[in-house]
Amino acid sequence: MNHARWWKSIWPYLAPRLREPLKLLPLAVWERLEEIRLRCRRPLSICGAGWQSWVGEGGEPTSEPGRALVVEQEDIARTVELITCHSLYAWEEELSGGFITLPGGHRVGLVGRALVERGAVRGLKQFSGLNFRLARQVVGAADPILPLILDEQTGLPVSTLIVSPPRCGKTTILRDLARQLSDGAPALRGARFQVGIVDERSELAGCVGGVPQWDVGLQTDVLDGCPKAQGIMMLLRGMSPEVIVTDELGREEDADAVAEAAAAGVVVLASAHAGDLEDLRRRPSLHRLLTGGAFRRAVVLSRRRGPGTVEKVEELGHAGTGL
Amino acid sequence: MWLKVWGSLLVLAAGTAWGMAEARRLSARTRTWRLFASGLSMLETEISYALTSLPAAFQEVARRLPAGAVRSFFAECGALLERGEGTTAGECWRRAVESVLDPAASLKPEDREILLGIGGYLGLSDARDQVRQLRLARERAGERERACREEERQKGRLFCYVGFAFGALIVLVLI
Repeated sequence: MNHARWWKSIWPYLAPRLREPLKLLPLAVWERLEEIRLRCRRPLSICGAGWQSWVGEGGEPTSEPGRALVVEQEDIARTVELITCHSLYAWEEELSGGFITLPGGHRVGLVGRALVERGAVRGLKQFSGLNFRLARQVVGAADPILPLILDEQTGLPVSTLIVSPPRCGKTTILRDLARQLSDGAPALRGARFQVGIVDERSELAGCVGGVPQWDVGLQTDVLDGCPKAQGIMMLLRGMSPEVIVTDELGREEDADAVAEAAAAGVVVLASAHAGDLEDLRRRPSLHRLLTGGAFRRAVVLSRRRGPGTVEKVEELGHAGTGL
Repeated sequence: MWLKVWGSLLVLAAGTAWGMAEARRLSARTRTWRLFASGLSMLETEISYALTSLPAAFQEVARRLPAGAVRSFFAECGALLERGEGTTAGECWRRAVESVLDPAASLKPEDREILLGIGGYLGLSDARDQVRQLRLARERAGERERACREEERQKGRLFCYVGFAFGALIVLVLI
C-alpha cells in the first residue's frame, strides 16, 4: 500500500485538527511509521521500530515535547466518534476487548474509564488515549520464516504456531506466509496451496466490504469477521483448504478447532500472544495448543533486531504434519 | 361599484387566507412533533435491536417516514454523518435542525431547545443508555405534540375568525 492510499485509509478516522500535521509528515517518516498515539493533553506521538517522536503543528517530527501539537480531550472524543461511526453502542464487544479494527486492518487500541458489570468489563467511556497501530503489507516479510515451517524431508509446510509479544510482526508474517503459500515461492519449489484465512478481526486480509485490501494470494479464501473456532470448521467443511491461516489464538475452543483441522490433514498456521513458549505453557487456555498435538512446530519471534526476529524454533510433536 | 365589491371580497379573502395559513402552521407543528416522536421510536428500535450504525439508522428512519420535513431532517442527518468531514453526530444534528426542520416547521425557541438537546448524546454511549435517552426524548416530543395539539385546538379556529374579521374591518374602514 503506497503512502497516499495508506493515508486515505486512516485520515477519515482522525479528528480534523490532527489530520493536517500528520499528513505533512515527511514521506521517510511515514514509511517507518508503526503507531500514532493520542493521549489526552499530551503531545501527539508517533513511533516505529526502535524510535519515537512527537509531531509539531506543521507536521515536523520533533524530539522536544514542548514544540509538539497537544492532543485535547475534544480531539480524542471526536476521533472515537469517527472510529465508531458515531455509534459507540454498536462496538460494546470490541470496546470490552480494548480495541477496534478499522477497514484496512489498522487496529485502534483505546483506554479510558472501564464500565464494569458483575466483575466483567462491559465497555469503556471517558476515553483518554488511543493508539493507531498501522497495518502494512511487507512483501517478503515471511522469507526468513517460510523455510522454518517446511518439513525437512517433504519440503511441505507443517502446522506451525508463531509466538511473540505484541508488535513483533506476527500478523504481517502470517499475511505474507498466506500469500507465498498461495502464489508459490522459491522455497516451495513450485508448490502452491489452497489457502483459507479465518480473519476474526479483519486484520490479516484487511477486508472492506468482503474484499481483501492486502495481497493474500491468488488461491486464498478469506472468512472475514468470523470467530476463529467456528471459521476453521466452516472452511474445513466448505472450502477444502490445504492450509488454514488465523491470528491470535487464545480461547479453549480455538485449540479444539485447530486439532480438528490437523486431524483432517490440513496445515494450520496461527499466532498467539506470549513472551516465549514457557509463558504459553503457563496459560491454561494456550497450553493445550502446544500439548494437544495440533501444531508440529512453534516459532518464537521478538523485535530484538527489528520485527520478525526469529528467537527460537521448537519441534512440538509429530501431529499436524499435514499435506 | 363593482370595483368596490371585488376589492372588498379580495380584502376579505386575504384576511381569511392569512388566518388559515396561521392555523395550518399550528397544525404543521403538531404533525412535526408527532412524526418526530415516531422517528425517535424507529431510531430506538434500530439502535436497541439491530445495533445499526447511526448514519444507517437515520437513513432507515427517513425511508420509513412519510414525505415531509421530518423525513428530510432524518435523511439530512444521515447524509451529513456519512460525508466524513470529521463532524460529530451532535453537530450534524444541529445543522439538520437549523437547515431543514426549523424553516419547514416554524419551530418556537422552546421546540428548538428540546430538539438541539437530543443531538448532544446520540451515539455517544452504550445501547442501554441510548435507549433510555431516546425514550426520554420521545416523551418530551410527545408532551410537545400534546401542547401543540391543544394550542391548535384553541387558536386554530380563532386564527380563521380573526383573519376574516380583520379583513372585514379593513373593508368597513375603506368603504
